[in-house]
Amino acid sequence: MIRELLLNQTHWAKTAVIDGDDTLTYGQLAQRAAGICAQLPTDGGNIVAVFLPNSADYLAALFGILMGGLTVFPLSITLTEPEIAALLAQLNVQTVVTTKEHWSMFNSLDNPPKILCVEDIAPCAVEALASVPATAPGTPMVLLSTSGTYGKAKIVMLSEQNMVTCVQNHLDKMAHEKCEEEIRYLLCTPFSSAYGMFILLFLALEGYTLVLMRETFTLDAFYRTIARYKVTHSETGTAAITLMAQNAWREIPYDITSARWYGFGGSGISKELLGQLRTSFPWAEFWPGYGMTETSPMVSKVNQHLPTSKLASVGTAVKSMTIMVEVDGVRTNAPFVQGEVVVKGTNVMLGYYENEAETAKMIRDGWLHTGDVGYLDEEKYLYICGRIKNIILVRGFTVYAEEVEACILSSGLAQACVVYGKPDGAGNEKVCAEIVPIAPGVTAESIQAWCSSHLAAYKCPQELILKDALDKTATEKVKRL
Amino acid sequence: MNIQETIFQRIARAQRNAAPIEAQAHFYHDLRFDSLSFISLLVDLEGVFSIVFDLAEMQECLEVGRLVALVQEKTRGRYD
Repeated sequence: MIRELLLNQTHWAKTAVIDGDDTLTYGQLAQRAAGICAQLPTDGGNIVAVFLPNSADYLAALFGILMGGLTVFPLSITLTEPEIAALLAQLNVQTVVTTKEHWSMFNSLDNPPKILCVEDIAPCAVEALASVPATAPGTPMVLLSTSGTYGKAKIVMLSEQNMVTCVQNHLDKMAHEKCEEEIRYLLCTPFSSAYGMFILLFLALEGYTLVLMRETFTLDAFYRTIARYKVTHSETGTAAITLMAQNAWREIPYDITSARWYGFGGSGISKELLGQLRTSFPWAEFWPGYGMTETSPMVSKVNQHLPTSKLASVGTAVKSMTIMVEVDGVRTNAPFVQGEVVVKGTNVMLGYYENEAETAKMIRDGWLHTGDVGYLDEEKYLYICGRIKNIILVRGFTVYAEEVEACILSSGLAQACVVYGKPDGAGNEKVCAEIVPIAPGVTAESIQAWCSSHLAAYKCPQELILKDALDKTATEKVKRL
Repeated sequence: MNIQETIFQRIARAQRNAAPIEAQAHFYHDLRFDSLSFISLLVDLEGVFSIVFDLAEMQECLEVGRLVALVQEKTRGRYD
């Protein structure tokens, strides 16, 4: 179903993408995708990586790979060369779709993959393609990296059924039939994320329009784009919504009333800020959601309207999902019992790629253990209170402390370190590191420079403290903060 | 008060890497700010200098030099 989406001519006359003054119909997008599909190898390796910024080219690459019956492996455009090298080696990726601007990220690898630059690929008639090849049951359609490259990265396998379920869940929650205007989405999260991916698939299924915002994100650019293109729906990270709330007192010199639905997720937002948004933007609905890559990604979302009494919640379970909490090994959905949030449903991942040990830790007795602490209320609204797992949420991006520690230790500049998260205001966290340098002359700047060249920007420590020694536990392990 | 020096100090506190703070440095591309941290810096400077940035001005000062020039313009006569 997902793989054949663009082959369905129902939406071909509709606008798929608005990019500045340019538009692309679904028919034209299908031809671009077909052009990419025709260039993909049919032998040797079925995983194709995509390293592209948010763009129409990204969509063409995504659907071109899916049309070819292959597995798509999106790479975040923020990754560094060492991170990319390790990921490609782990998966034995032999083909990458990218641009000429980014080609250099790949050609210095030990075993460089075949590189397809979108600028060199001409569209072709969809009819020229053979039918979408059948894929074996259990074959992942999408692979998504959830952690980094130092040690074995955890790569989530999502099936076509996972993505179909997620898209259907979104349809169920959104009730788009109530929107009288032409539906236009502005997606300000990376297309390479699970969240971005499922929104793109959903838009293609329904034939809705995607508005691209090429500029660096600022509130001015965001509002200007909404006003210029009459955006009706916005999907962003929580950071964008937080900025809206904190700066609502500043005059907005644009008419942004077309945007009546703001979906967001990735990190928490206080009920006070949410209440402020409702007051400042009374024509709009603000829809928090909760999920993770391992759940394709939606676990819960607001059902069209979030009652004032539920502002601290992240909505109710999506249709395919059952949510419970687990306390001392016992699962319950009794109200107001706090425990680890565990979920079950057809949008739970197939597992981690070639990593049964980590999969078995995550999915036990058929339930996925989220690592988040929360509770359900009497109406089954979910509230997230905290976290068990050792991750840091930086503007909705997941950072594993162990990954940053491994990177710092690999620099040869540190003999020990501990990485942790610290609140950075408004539901956000920042990465902090305490480090025992290998020698007296080592500076924080040199360690910072190492991190910058080996880690995506959001993973780099913002606070870096050099110490003579780190606190240890009774068993001589570095004490986690 | 030396406006540029004060601004540079505030930037140094908030930046995410050790890149030099120069007039042509871009907050996002060179100094690794993101949208949240950039606006936090601007809010900080609003407090320090008793000024207000509108949204369009925030958009216009994504380079250090332009931010310094804007603050100097908004505070003209106060710190000369």
